[in-house]
Amino acid sequence: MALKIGTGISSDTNAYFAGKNAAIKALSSLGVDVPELGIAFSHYEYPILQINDGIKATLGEKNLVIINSQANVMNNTFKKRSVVLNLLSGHSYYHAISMVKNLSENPYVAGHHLAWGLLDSLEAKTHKKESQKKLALVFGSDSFIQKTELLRGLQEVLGVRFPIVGGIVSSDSSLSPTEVSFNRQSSRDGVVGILFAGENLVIGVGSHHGWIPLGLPKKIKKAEANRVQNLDDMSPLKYYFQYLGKHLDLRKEDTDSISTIYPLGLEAEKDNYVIRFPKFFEPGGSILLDSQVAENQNLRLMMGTRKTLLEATEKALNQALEPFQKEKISPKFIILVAGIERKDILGVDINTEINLIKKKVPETTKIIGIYTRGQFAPLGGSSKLANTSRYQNGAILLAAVGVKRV
Amino acid sequence: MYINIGLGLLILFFILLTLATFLITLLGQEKINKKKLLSELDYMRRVYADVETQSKLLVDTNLNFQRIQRELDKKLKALNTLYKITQTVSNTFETDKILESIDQEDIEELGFEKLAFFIFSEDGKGIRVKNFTGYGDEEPEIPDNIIDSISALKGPIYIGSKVHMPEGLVPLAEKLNLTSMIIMPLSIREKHIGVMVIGNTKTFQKPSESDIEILSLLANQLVQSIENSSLYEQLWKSYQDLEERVKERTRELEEANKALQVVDQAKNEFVSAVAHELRTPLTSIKGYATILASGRLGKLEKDQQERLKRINKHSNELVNLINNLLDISRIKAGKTTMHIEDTSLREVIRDVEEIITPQTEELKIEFRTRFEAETENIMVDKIQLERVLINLLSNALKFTPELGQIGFNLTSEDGYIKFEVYDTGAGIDDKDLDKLFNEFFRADNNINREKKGTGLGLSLVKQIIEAHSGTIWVNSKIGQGSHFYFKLPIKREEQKNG
Repeated sequence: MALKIGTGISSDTNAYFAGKNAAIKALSSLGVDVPELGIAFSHYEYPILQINDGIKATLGEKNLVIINSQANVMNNTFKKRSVVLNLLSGHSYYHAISMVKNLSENPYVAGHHLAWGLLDSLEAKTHKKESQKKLALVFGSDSFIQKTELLRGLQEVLGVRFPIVGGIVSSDSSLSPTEVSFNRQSSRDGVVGILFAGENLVIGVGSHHGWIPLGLPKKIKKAEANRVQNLDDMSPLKYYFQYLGKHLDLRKEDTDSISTIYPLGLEAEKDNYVIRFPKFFEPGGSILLDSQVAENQNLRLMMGTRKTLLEATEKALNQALEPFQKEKISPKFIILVAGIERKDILGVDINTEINLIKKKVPETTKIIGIYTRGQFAPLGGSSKLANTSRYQNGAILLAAVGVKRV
Repeated sequence: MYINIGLGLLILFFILLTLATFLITLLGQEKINKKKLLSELDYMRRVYADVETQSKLLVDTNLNFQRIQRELDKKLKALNTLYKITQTVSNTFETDKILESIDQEDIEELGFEKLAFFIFSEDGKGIRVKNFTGYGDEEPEIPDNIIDSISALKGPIYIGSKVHMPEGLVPLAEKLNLTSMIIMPLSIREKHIGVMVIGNTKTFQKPSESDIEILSLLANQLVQSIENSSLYEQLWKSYQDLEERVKERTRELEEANKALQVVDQAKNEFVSAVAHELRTPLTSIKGYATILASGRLGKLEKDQQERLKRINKHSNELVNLINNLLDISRIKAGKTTMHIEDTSLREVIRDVEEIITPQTEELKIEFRTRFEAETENIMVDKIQLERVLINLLSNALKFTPELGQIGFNLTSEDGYIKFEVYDTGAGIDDKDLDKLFNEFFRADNNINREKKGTGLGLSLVKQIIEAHSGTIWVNSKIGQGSHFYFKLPIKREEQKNG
């Protein structure tokens, strides 16, 4: 029993039964094996503790991490209001879980605490096998702005080039808070992490967004926290207006969708941009982004189409599967964390994106995932050493996990 | 000295000249460079401007393309929703289930948050919520005096914000917690049955024609489904009523049948009892008549002998009648066991021929038998089979005139032996064919009027054949003779299975 996975999905309207039914299906998919860890993605409208109780009514007292979502994916099913549960069992891997609350007080320190918590927990389980750590899966609530600070805190402890993947969970409205939970502890201002370790564990991470740069770059001359005020002596609104002209009517409902198609790209490295979607155009012409932004960074208008987004998915998938091709094995499961904005652009082709992944992996490889506003993922995947994890928007992250043939 | 001064001045002049030339060249070069730089800058500006122009063009084209794509998506999603409803309709006729098949995600895919169906009462004076989505478990309230405002709607109306809300519909928007909405009248054959309200909690941009078209399609499909559902309910109700009536009649018939069976059983028992009671004195009568006729009790006059012969003859007929009656009763009551044994068909034919041939010769009737069966043996009660054949052949003899023909053929047919007993006699009227095997039935014809009979022979034949799991039928036409057919299984059921 190397590493076995069981998955289940339920869209029952009652949270408790949604959890319970997803657990029944996941257990049945797992077969005779006893689960050791459960990772559940549940729509933000479901009360998270009811989901926890529903799942545990079937599973018993096993480690269970629940993360809010805006939409879920299981194999080739895309469902908004649902609970997806992934059960893991086997002795080829170790896992450590940690959770930190009051994240917004100091995200950088929270990142440190979470990373140390994960390492301590792993040490307690494995006794000096910390070097076998392979992947950190981290999800935080959308209760703070300095998302990159959380990542910096984590990277300082786990390693700058260590694959830290996951995201910031989100809801459709800023009025609906998002939550993460570990067993019966839940937090609307917290972060939960799972550290996977194991000598024979094979990890592949791929991540791309698919928006292409457009127009001329601008330097951020004035910014404060997540507010961009000046771009080369021009207001961000004017910069947008320059390209979009008549299409940009802030009174109109489709401003959101326009900024989804045309987000801003923060230059991270040569020809590589991290996407930021303007959340709000302020009366003075400044814009609010999802995370803090630094002055003197170069920024460009980006453009997304279905074609470029799907090409990005394919690239991310190829990167995630590269280590498995070398080992001549298939991943046991793939965790997908994708920007909910992708759904806006892909429309009905959201299923094409999922099928694209499904077609490239065998039937036995389980796919589970969430759609959310922010992703922690290396820009371009983990196969290049230089690629450290960054806080991104709009990206598709695929983290594939498998076990080497011994 | 003057020469030196002149030479110095000349050198100075040349130096100054060289310097001037150098400066002139330098200035010229700088001018050229500046010009070149200015031209390059100009080129870059033009390239940048081109990039900007191209980018704007690209933005414009892409945005328009994406809008078209979204419109198409919306139509595709609406078609998917319609397909889903159609699928539900094909599985159920329950209106609630059909309406429930539209879930929150379907509404969101169409760009809305909430949906409610209101149905008018039959008299059009009342209104009730039939189904709702987007309100959790709490049914939205219906405002008072809203019927007039919504029943007057002739086509779909769109209300983009509270500012544009007609006064009469404000209470509806408030109760439904909607800022913008589309109200779609639901009509069946020009009868207004209710409305579908779909809307948002925020201000909604003006719906496109295709939005309205899609919602109209959806509403029409739902109305059609509701109509079908209602028709089906009516049909189902009628069907159930009919079935209930059929069940009731069947029950009555079963009861009547049971009563008839009881009567029939009583009749059989009575006939059996009477026959038994009659047979004993008849045996005595026959015995005494035989003793008297033998002359052992004294010599008899010719007239006395004649009368005794008649007594004997009628007694025999009566005994036959009673025996037949008793046999029928016994077979019907299941009291007679058929002694099934492996029987040679040729032996049966031989036995029957021995009995029938003398009579045919006497009556100058040709008698033929044909054996074409693939098997020689059959599992039957030999005596009873012979009884059937003799009975049928005796009838054939009875109804066939001199120089006529009677006979029987044996053929095989799918595990059965098929017997055909035929004659070239008077034939049977069509109207009598159905009653031929009934007890005591005698066809009304000259021969029957002349020749005596009990009307029990064919009934007994039928009972014997059915007791062998066989069937009997007849083909006959007046003046063309009769063909009696019967089929008997070659093997018994238990033999076939085992």
